[in-house]
Amino acid sequence: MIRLENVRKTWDGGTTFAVDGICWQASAGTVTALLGGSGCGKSTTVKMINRLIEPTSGLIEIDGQDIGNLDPVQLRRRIGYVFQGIGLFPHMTVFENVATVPKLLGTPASEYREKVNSLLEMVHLPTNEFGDRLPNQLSGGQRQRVGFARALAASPKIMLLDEPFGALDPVTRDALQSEFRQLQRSLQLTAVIVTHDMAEALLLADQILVMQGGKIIRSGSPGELLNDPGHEYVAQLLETPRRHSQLLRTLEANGLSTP
Amino acid sequence: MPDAIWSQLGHQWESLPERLGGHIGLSLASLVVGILISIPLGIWAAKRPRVESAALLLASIIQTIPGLALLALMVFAWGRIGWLPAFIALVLYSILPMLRNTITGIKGIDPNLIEAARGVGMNDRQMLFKVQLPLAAPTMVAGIRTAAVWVVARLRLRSLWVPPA
Repeated sequence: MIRLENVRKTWDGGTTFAVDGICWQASAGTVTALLGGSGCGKSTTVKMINRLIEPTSGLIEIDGQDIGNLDPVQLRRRIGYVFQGIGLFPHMTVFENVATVPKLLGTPASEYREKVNSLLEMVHLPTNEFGDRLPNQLSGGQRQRVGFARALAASPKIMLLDEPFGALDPVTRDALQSEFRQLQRSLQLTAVIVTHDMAEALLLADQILVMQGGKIIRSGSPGELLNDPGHEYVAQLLETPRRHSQLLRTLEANGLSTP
Repeated sequence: MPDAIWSQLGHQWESLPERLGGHIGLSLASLVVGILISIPLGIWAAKRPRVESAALLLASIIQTIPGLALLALMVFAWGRIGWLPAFIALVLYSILPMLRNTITGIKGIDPNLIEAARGVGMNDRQMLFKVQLPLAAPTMVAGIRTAAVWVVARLRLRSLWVPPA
């Protein structure tokens, strides 16, 4: 469980707030999407959960523990982190990249080898074929799959994803999104995903938080948001996927009617 | 007259092994001490813009001082001629390329990798040894090679101050 209470972040000593009083709770095993445009504070919010960024004020709890009292390095090893830049270590093989966190935790090689193999299997990059490759020998989608496997290597209960599919082509993105959803369900992960894509949020999340100017302006399940946007900005965000699907339907109908 | 040249040459030839050994020893010693100074300094300065510019400025200024002048300075500073002033001068000369390349190598690492290293839970030390140093190594080694060439090229300074054996 993740709980944020009145969390604020300022970079300029209090003149402006990148994150301005966020209150929110995510129960275990759910996916929350933080949705909004550039500079709305969604990435900052998610990075405060693994303390890559320290909040200016407010409380962040994981399973009832104030993370401000935990060692940030230990905290991060318990939380899977996947981001748009992927950040695979170019001087390490695929296998070594995935083994990073177990190695940091001092797990003996005999124990983590099997774990890494099963994770690589799970992301469809079996060790015998891909384990010895270097990141630059992989496609973008394969790299992000390794990124997922690396984040999962220490069996975290929580996963933070900062625009994880942002740099991928639409077909790869679609495949990885559904793979992620399967992984998340089977491992019962509590996931927070940052995105600017309403369609992605609707497809992946149980709960969507729409952010603007550092504040949550609307929250709810995908169904609730579709039924009642409740805010002009949310309505605008919903407009794009709706228009696309309508357009496709029209095109399809026309295509079928003409011989 | 030719006899004098030949006897002088023979005399010099006899002292060659000792001189050669001295040269190699001096260049190695100055390079090793230079590495011990400039690489830790570079690692430390890479994260501190003020230290970085100050250290690079100082190393560059030292580099512009002509060899003879620096040696003279060292001789005055230590009040003696011989091995030590030359050694110190060579160490000072070796610093700039290694310092600059260490800083460039570390600062040139893709910020995504630093974020990933922090994100998976590496502490500063682990990040340095597992990510930053391995990735900066080629640039740093290039700096060491440059420094080695410079040190060897400036070794002749020593011969001006050490009377023949």
